[in-house]
Amino acid sequence: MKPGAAGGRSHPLERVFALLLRMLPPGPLRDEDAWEMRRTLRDQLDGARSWAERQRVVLRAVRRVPGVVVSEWLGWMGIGTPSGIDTGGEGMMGNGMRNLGFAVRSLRKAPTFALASVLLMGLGVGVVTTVFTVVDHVLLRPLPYAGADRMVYLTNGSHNGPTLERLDGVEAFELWTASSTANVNLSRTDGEPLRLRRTEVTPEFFTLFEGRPHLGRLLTDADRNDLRIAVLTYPFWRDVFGADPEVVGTTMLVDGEPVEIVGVLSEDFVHPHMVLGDAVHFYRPMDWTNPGLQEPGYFAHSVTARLRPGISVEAADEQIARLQADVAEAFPDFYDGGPRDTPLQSLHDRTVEDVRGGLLLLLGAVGLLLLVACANVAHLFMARGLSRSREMSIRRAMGARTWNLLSQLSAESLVVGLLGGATGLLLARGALAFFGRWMTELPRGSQVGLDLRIFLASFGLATLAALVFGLVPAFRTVGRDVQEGLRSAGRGMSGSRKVRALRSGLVVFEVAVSLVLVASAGLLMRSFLAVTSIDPGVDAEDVWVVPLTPANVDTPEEYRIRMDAVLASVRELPAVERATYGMEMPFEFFGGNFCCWGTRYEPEDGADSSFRVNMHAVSSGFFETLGTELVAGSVWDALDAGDEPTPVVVSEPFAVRVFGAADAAVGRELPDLAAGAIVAGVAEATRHYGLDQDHDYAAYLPVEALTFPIPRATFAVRTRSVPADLTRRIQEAVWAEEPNLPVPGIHALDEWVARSSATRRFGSFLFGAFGVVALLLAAAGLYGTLLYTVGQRKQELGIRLALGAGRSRIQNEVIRRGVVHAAVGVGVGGAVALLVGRVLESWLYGVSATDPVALAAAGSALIATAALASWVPAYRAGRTDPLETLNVE
Amino acid sequence: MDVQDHLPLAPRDLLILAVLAEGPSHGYGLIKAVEDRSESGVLLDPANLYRVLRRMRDLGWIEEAEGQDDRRRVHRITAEGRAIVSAELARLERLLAQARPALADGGGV
Repeated sequence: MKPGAAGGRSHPLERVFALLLRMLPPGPLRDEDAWEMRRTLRDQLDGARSWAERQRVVLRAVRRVPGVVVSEWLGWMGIGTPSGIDTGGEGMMGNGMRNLGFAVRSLRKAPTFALASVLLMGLGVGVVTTVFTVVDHVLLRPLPYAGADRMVYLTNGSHNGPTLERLDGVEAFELWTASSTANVNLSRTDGEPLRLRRTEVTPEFFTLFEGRPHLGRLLTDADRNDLRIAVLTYPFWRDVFGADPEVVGTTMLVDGEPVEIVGVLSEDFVHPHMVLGDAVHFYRPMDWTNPGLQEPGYFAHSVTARLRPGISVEAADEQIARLQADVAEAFPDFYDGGPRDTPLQSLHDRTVEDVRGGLLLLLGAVGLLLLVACANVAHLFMARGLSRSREMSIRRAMGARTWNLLSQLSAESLVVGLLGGATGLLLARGALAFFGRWMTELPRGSQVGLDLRIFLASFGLATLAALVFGLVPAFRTVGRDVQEGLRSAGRGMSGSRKVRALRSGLVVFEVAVSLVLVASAGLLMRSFLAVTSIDPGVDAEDVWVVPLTPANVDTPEEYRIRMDAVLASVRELPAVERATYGMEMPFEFFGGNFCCWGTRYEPEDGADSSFRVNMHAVSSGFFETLGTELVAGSVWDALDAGDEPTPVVVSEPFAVRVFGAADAAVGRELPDLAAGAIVAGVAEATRHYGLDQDHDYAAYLPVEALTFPIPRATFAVRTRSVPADLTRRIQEAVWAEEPNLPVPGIHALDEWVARSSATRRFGSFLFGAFGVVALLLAAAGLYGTLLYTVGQRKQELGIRLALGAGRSRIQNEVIRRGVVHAAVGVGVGGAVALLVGRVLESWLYGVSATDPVALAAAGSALIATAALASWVPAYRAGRTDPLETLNVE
Repeated sequence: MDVQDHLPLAPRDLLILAVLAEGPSHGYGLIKAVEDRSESGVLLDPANLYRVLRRMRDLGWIEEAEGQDDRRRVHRITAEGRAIVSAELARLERLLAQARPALADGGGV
């Protein structure tokens, strides 16, 4: 045949065909035949008699490419027989491919089974990959700094100047650095003032944490005490300076003082949040001239160090203990209780200590869920396999070799595994992206990306499970008398005790695991409810809080005068009903991280041990604005606020503990708390550092009585109405008095209150969600098992019905069967839940780890679900048609 | 090599060998001839065709011949290939002979 008149005109798909064949198959095919194949396709196209035929020809050619590519690769890897002797059927496919094709076809015929197992496996693989990826990134990986395993942190908070001065003498340290972060205000000519976080560091900081300059330079020893230079972090430079490459050498106005920018850190610098907390905007050299550093009570600097190689933490600890003993000896008056105990902690532990418990809990919950999912996959495969026992027996009778049956069943498991794995991969990617926002709050959370190794591991495990359980039916037919298999396959399988026991075991196992999850969710939920029902002691509705950081405040008088002016300005806003300010507002700081100012109260009679009192300096209007009620006495008024004796308000628990009753406290003196303090009133107990944090002993004193200036003031306003531009109006009211004071945000107080229990809410939500999923899975497992059993017992049920057995009797029998399974599971799970409760103990509030209500509720939920899941199979059992079933025989 | 090991042949393989038994052909010619002969019952696409041809070449059933025009490869059947074709035809004839009486018996349709 000669090419036709259309010769030379190529079809667009022809090029696709050629390209696919050049790119995809392994070497041999490409080299030898690709050109020929294209040439032939061209000939075919040229020989086509119509446009439609051309399309048919080219489409057929392209459609066959994937199959050819797969077969070629399998052949190239030695799997299948691309050039072997097997030429039957589709001919071109190797054995492996044929089995896969067979598997796909047989799965297509059982879409429910295929979909259910793929989704279950996808769920398991996806969730485990997600959680394990997070856990691996956050907990297990070493910190991204050289010698990270030798990096340590000096515990017990911040440290004073005398300690810092002696650190050079600690031989165990190869390198150490001190750092201290403060809020400062940046004035800008072309925008609103900004609040920044500035960290002062010793130059070793950048060596230890491997900082490199992107522009200019970092800090050196020569910069000692030079407070007018700054090294910017990359994000700050990019966002505020617009990534200006000429920034080095320019100055910025910080707290009213010009500061020269000498460098910008590189983008890949990993912020050591475990030491510094929130993101820092710029660094400056340590201020050794600060007179505070001479004082033993000025605890301001965090200390991080790298140990010399070969030095153990214990050995270093001894040296630190000796150092603290020296410090205590130098300041005997201050250290009358003995030296401070400041053991070293590995920096890695420090990084993860706050989240380790939560993440491990999450991992535990996920592990339990995975167990249930796997059990269900096992269920599905076994049920399917058993229902095919007859098919297997027939095929063996026809001469199929064991190996053939095994490889076909494995192919089916493999297809389900592959599809499930793909689903899981998508799920994990989605979940990691979805939780990305939440995870930035975890240490190193922002660096979490999908880890292929973890995915492959969980994917491999799931596929292995599918393979093992998928092969159960094949093994059952192996070595069995075929005749007997054929005879029994019709009805006798339900009589196989081993299989029934295995399936019942799986159901009991699923119910037990679900119970553990549901009961844990119950405990966490009860804790959450207990916490949220606590009276916070403030009326948070309609209250807005505005944290400010006044700079360059030199005296307490200046602080009060400037902030009073802002307060007056804010009070003039029409929307504002009441307003106040103080050192900090309730719920501004939460968790065990008690802020600000506390003192120890020593009872005079000495009978009672001393206890901590939290001190709150507040302006006028504090109690009215926050809605905290006085139970006795009254609040000081503006006139006597600055007088001696200083009027204070104490909390009711304090009054009761010290004076026996609230009323008895009014008018009493409290020289221990503040010079010349006298109790003017007693306020109801409030929560201040979180709903679940005790805050029993508190004293409020007027800002007029402050004896030191403070760099922060948080305002609270109670609004009559909420105008859309409330933020703007409050900002303008502040700037009317303090034009250089940043007003970064205005928060609803009830959000702060809710924030303090957010972790609990998240925990109970998570366990609740997992518990519900586990419950559904267990119900599905039970449902499947019962339905299958009923199907297998059709003849028996039919005969019994024919002989006059009542429908309800048979239905009850099936339901009872389901409930008994569940009850056994609840019993086993209950015992485990009691143990798990102990693990949860530190997470619980106001509820015992062995709370009978949570356990009983979880148990009833499971049994009710089981009864529900048994209903459909029971109904079917009752509807068995005696005639039909007998006819089958 | 025992030809029986390779039987039965896939219909397509038999047709390809049968076409080549009548004379050498290049790829497109083969596709045309097979489709004509089977009255489009067997459709070939180039990608699969060349995999079949390579396998047959590896088995020694066919070999390459000098082409007349441009680079197109021309395939020719070998003695071994002919042996396979006749063995397969013999097998099919035997099978037909065994199966036909079933219909002649009046049991059909």
